[in-house]
Amino acid sequence: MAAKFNFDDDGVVVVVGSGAGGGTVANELAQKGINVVVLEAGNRWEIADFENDEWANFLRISWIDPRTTSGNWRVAKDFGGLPAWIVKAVGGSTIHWAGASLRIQPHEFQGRTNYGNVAGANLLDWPVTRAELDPYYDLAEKKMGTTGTNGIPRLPGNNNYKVLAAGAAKMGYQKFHTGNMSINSQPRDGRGSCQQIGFCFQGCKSGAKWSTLYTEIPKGEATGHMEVRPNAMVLRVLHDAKGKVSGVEYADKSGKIQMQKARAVCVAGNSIESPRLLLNSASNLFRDGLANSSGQVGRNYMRHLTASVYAVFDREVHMYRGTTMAGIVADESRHDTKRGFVGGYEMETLSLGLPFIAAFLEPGAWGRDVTFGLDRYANMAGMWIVGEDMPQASNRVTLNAKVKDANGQPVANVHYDDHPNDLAMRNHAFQQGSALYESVGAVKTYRTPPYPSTHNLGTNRMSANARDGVVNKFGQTHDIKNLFVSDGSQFTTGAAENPTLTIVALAIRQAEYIAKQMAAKEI
Amino acid sequence: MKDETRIDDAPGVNRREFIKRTGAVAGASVVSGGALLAASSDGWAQGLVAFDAATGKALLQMCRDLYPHDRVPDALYQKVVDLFDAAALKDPAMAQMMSDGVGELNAASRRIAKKDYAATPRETDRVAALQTIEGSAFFGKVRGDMIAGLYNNPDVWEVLGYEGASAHLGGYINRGFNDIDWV
Repeated sequence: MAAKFNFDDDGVVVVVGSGAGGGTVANELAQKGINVVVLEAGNRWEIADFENDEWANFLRISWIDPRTTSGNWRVAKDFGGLPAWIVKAVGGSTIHWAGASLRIQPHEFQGRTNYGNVAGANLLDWPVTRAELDPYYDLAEKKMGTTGTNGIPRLPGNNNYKVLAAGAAKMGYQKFHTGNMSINSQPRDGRGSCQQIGFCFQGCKSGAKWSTLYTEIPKGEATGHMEVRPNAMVLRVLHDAKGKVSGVEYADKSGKIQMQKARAVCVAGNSIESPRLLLNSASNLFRDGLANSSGQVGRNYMRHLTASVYAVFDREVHMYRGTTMAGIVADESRHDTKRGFVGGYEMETLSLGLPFIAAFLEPGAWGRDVTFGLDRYANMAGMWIVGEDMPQASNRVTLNAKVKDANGQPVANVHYDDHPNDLAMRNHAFQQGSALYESVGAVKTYRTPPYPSTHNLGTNRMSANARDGVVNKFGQTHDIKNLFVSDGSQFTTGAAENPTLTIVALAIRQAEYIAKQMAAKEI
Repeated sequence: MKDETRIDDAPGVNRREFIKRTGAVAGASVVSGGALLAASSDGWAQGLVAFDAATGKALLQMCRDLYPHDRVPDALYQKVVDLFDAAALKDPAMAQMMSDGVGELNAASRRIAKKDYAATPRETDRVAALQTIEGSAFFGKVRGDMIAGLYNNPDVWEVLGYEGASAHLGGYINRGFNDIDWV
C-alpha cells in the first residue's frame, strides 16, 4: 500500500510532477525499493471524474494558472494567456494525450550533424543515440502496451482514418497505418480494450489508453515505497551550503508552505513549469537559478510546428467517432531538403468536438467562411501536423515578475518566434494536407493555425558539454549531481514525433542510473 | 423560404442537396434575414431584463451574422443573448458596453444602409456594418462569448450533426465509428 514519509526524511527521492516523466521515474524507482515522494501540483481525479464534455473537462483538469506570452507565434495572439494545453492533475498530460507512441528517428538524434548550421537555430546533437535508447524504447513500448509492437495488433481505423488513408493512397504515400498507439487494442495489463469512445483528450473513460494515473502511480504505490501528494505546488528546490540539493518547498492544498527533505530531486513539471521552478529557485549561491551555469535554463523552447488541416466533404465522416488520433502518414517525416526545409513532419488524424472546433478552426474568424465548415461538421475530416521546429536560444521561458500566481511566485512568460524553417515546413504541410483531402473530394479545406502547445520541449536540454545545455545524457544536471530533469524539457531537439514515448524511455533509463548512483553513494 | 439576400457560402456545393443528404435534422426551421426575424422575436425580446427589446434584437441579429447557421433556429441564438442578458444584469459595465456597442453598430448601419442594424435587410450590408466595429472590445466580447454560448449547446449539436458524449452508450465501437463506405 501507499507509503507515508516524514517531511524531514532526507533519504527519499522527491519527484516533482506525475505525468509521463515524473510518474514513470517515480514508479521505476519504487520498483527498485527506493523511497519516493511525488509532489503533484494538481488534484487527484480518477477515471470516474472524467467527462465526455470538452469545456467541462478542460476547465477541470487543465493547467489554467496564469501565464503570459510574447513573440510572433500565432498562439500569443489567439490564446495569449494559455500558451500550453496541458494538464494539472495526478497523471499530468498523460490524461490528455492521444496515445501516439513513436520512436525518434536515428538521424533526428543528430540534428546539428545532419541539418548543418541552420542560421538562427541553436541546433545540437543529442548526447545519446537511437541505438543507445532502443533497449529503453523496447521497455517503454512493453510497459505502455503500444500497438504495432510486441505482437500487439493495431487498432481498427475509424472514419477519420479511412478518409486519411484513402487520400494518402491517392497521394502515393507508402507509410500510413493506424499508428503505434498506447491504447489497448485487446485487454492487457488489467485494462480493457478501446471502445472507440472518442474524447481521448478528456481522459479515457475506459482506461484503455495508458496514463500514469492508473498504471505507473498505483503500481508504484503498491510497492510501499511511494507516496503521492496531490495539490502540492513546488515553489523552490532547496540546496545546502555545498550546493547539493537538500529538499523542496511547496504550497499544500490550503496554501500552507511545507518543506520536504530529499536525497535527490527529479523535476518533471513539463517544459514550462520545470525551467520556471529552477529559475524561481535562485539563491545566493546560484543567482541565475539552479543548474543554470550555462544560461540555457528556459532557452530553446520548442513546441512542434503544429497546424491542422480540416476538410469538408459532401458526404458524412463523423470524425469524432472513435479514437482522436486514429492513424498516421509518416512519409513526410524524412529529412529531405529538396522540400525547402530541414527535418520533417508527421500527419496524424485529429478530431475535435463541435465546442472545440468552433474555437480552434479559425481562431478569431467569423462569418460564413467559418460556418460553412461548422454547418457541415458531420462531413469533416481532420489531421494534425507534428513537425520538428528549430531550437532557438531566444525562444524561451522566463520569469514574468509583473504577474504573480496564487502563491506570489512570478509566472512563466513563454516567448516564441517562428523560425523560417518552421514556416516553410508548415506551408509545405498545409499544401500536402490540403492536397491529400482534395484528392478524395474535399469541397473545402481549412488551414488551422497552431493550438496552444501540447508538446512543450527543450527548456532544460541535454548536452554532452556542460556549456551547451542543462543536463547530461541521463537527465542529471551538469551543475548539481543530485538534481535531475525527467520530462520533455530534456529534449535536445524536438524531432518530428510525439514526445511521450521518448519521455518514458528516458525516465526508465534515468531511474536505472539514479539507482546505480545511489548504490555507489555518488548521490 | 429562400432568402435571396443571403451571402452564398457554398461554392460548388448545392445547399439543398447537402441538407437532404446529411438528413438535416427534422424540425429545424430554415430562418434568416432581418425582416423575418423581427416578427418572430418580439415576444422573446420583451422578456429580457438587462437589455431593452431593441438592444436584444440587435444582439440576436449580430449573433446570427457572426456565426450564421441557417438551419439553427432563432431560439438557440436567443439562448446566447439570454446569457449576455444574465451577465449584464450582474455587471453594469458590461451592460453599458453592450448598449454602447449596439449604438455604434446602428450608427454604422445607418451610414451603410440608412437603417438600424437589425432592420437592415441585406446580410452583406449588416456584415459591412459589423466589419467597421471589428476591432472594438464590444465586438470581441460578443464574438468570444458566443463561441462557447452557441456551440456548447447539445441542441445546436443535434442540428449540426455532432453526437457528443458516448462513454455512457458504450462508445462508438458498435455505433458507426468506421461505417462510411464512400472512400
